[in-house]
Amino acid sequence: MRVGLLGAIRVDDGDDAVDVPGAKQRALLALLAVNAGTVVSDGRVLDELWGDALPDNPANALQKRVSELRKLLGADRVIRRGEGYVLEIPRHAVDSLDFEDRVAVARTAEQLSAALALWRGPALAELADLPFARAEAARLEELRWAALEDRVEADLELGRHHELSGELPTLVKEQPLRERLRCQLMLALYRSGRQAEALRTYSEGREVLAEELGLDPGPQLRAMEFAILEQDPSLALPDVATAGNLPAPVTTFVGREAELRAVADRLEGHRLVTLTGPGGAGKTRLALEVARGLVATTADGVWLAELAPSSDPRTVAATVAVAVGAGEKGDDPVTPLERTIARLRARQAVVVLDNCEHVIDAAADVASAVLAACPDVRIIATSREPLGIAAEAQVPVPALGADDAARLFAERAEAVRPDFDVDVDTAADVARLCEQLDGLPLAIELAAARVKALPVGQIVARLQDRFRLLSGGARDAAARHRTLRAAVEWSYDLLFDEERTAFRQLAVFPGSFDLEAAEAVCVAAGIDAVDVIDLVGHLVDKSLVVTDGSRYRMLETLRQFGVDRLEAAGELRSATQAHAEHFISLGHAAGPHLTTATQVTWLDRLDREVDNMRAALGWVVDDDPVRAMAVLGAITLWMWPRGYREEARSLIDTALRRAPDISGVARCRALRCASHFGNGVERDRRRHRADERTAEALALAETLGDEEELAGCQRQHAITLVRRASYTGDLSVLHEAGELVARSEATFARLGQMWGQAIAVVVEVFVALAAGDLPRAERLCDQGWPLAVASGERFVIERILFVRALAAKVRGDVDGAIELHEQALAVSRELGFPEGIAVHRSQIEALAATSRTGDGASASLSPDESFVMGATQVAAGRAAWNAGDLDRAEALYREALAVYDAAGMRRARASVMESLAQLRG
Amino acid sequence: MTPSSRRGRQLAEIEAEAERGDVLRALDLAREHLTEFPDDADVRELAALLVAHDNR
Repeated sequence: MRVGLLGAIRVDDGDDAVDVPGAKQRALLALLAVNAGTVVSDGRVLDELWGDALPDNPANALQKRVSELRKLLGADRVIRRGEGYVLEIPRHAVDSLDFEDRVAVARTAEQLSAALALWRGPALAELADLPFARAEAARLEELRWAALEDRVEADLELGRHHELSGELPTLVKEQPLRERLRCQLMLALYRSGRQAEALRTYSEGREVLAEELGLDPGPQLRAMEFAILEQDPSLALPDVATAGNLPAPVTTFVGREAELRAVADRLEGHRLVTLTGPGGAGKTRLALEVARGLVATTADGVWLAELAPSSDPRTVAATVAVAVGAGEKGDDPVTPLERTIARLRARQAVVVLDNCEHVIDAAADVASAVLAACPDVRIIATSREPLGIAAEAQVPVPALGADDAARLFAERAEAVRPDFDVDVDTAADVARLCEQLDGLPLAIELAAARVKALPVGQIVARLQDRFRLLSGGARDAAARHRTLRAAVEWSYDLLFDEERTAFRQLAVFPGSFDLEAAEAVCVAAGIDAVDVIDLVGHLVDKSLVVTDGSRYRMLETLRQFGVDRLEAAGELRSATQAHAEHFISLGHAAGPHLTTATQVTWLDRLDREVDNMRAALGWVVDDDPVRAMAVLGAITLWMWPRGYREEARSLIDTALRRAPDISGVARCRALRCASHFGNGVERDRRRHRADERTAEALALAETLGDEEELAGCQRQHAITLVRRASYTGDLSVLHEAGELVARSEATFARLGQMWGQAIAVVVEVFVALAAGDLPRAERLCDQGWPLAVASGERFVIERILFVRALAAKVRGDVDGAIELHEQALAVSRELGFPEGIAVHRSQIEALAATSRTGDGASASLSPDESFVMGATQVAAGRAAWNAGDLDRAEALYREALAVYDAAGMRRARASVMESLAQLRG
Repeated sequence: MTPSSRRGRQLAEIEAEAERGDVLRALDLAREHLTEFPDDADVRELAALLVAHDNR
């Protein structure tokens, strides 16, 4: 059973559609259908259907219409409830509600088109004389146009500007005042090379707006005209790879047409395709090329997870989670794998798991779990051996064919020697060389990189010497492995001593690196700092290192060779240490910036170095746990917002275990840091430990005479007390919390440390909220705001905006609340702070829903965010109660209840229930 | 004494290889060196000598 309102009003019982006879019957059906599932009172029905012209016996007339409707729909659909009627059918059985719901979740042009296809004609047109129907029709029509604009936007992103240039003029003619649509037409025309028409579209729009409304074009339209006149590059079609994280290729891709087809074909029937072959066979490059080809048709993106830097199988799941954009969120004890699955479950995506061989079991576990739980996800893996799971299809990556191999050689040779050409003289040498190199792309690239100094004939001769020992036997994977090894050794042996030393040291980087870091490790091996840039450049010229122009990396096969040589030269320990020292220094250098306006630059910088930071932290925890604690303290404000909390926790625990005897300020900092990462976790065990740690840190700090450390400990302990109050309902601890944080604030004020002062005020805000004193919380927000802004640190800014938004909401200022949440959302995005993004997004949605329907949705949020929201509602509820407005107090308490329910905060919920009981009593 | 410039150190390395009798390696290094420092007359001269001794 479906009710159709988007066009002629009709009922569809599955076999055929029936138009509904009688104007009043249609009106009653429409009124109940737009309110499906909720009771419409008799009074409202009479009012909407008859207005002032009520029949003599309204009750009879109403009953008669209801009875007719029941005959049409079935008696069990139109139910008498209380003083009214309700149409008991699911929302999706009413086409207008179905449309609204679909649009709300649609992300792709196809989904939006499917929603728009539900329209058969103007909505509720037959009821145009009834005010409720007119209003509903206007609302639906607006939604339809907005959805249409969203669909056009999605089509523009997919590069469909030519088709749109045909479709949009009709739509703009129909709705000449819709500026967004006109902008879209201008952009489609511009991208189709019709710049003059795009500008004419603008002038027409300006005239229409002036004539009809007496207005000038809005800023969006003016900006579009300006951008077109300037031929602004931002108007160009964005890279198709907007969803996903595939790197741009740095060299051309040669040949492999058959393999590209084979992998694409296997992906049609199998959701896991593993490209297998020895190192240097070109598995990664082929996988990336296939993946790039899938970007345009994969709605939710193609994601690359590089497993080569994961030396520990336990970090595989976390690497995949971060790669697909499912870094840590909140403190709920959700594993990286669960986060990955939650992220991908309802999405159409492709994940590339690159270099699985050294962590094969962990990679296989992640792949099987993702495939089992995420029906629209496909995986391309590269590995020297198959993952060995049931769903897997293997595609062995063969040697390059003779022609492709020669083409690859020629292209790469030309890159280092632009006048290089394969002519009749060199063609035979090149062919022989490629054959010698078993058609292995990496070996061919290494050889080609040498043509700058060596004629091809010489390269062939040199390699022949090398390969004399290798010849004979089957050309299987093992033989190809030996060939590659020999080619790599040859290339390495042709380096000057200093270049070899540099090459070995660079192998210490698990992932990519910048020149500064290269300098640090090379200098430690005795290379002069000024020579490093040249040496790295030579290694790039010789294809032993690759670069995207700003950062460098080694292909995994070459890096493994480099590590072997590093070990053989007895340099592994010193190189590892130099690497760690460099990144520990980076951590310490970043620390002070993380509480200032420059924080985002440093957060991004640390993010780029995550593989290096991970390796350095792992080393220093083993080598010197006390130093490890110090650096972890410095980068807490990176690891916390950017989702490396589990790792931080485990590192600090290890460090504390290994150095149980540390004392003084170092111990204080370590305990404070441990508490930071252990806190906010609902699990009692962890929370208690955090409580104990801050208490110990505070007691210790009081004996040390280090003012700043004491103030930090006071703040941290106050936070744990506020959390304790919010989890246990024991408000007696808030007094101590308030005193501690006031002292902390005073110290930071005296020391002139703005951020310390601002964050202390933010904690005071939470103390006030937990104590139910909303006016004080708001006053503190006003007091903290200038400090927060002056410090420039986003977290304090975001927290104050958050509380202000909640306060605006409880005052009933929905627009103000949305505006503040939007500001806070923007700040959270800059910060990359997942809880902030989640809470503000859900609040904006809920508030927008409230302003439309009077009912907001409550999303599941982390405990900290839930506490702030719940506490604000409770505080506002108490204020309403004190003012004698019991209805409002009850409503606010109920909202708090919903928040605590969604977060599973049982004790906080129980305390609200108690207040509600008292309120009613 | 180790030469202070990379150019000087490379020349020394090429000469050492030649003295050690690894003519092929010395010659390959000389070629590499000359792509970077084409005006290095010492290495050019050394390379010419090495070519004369290279029987391949």
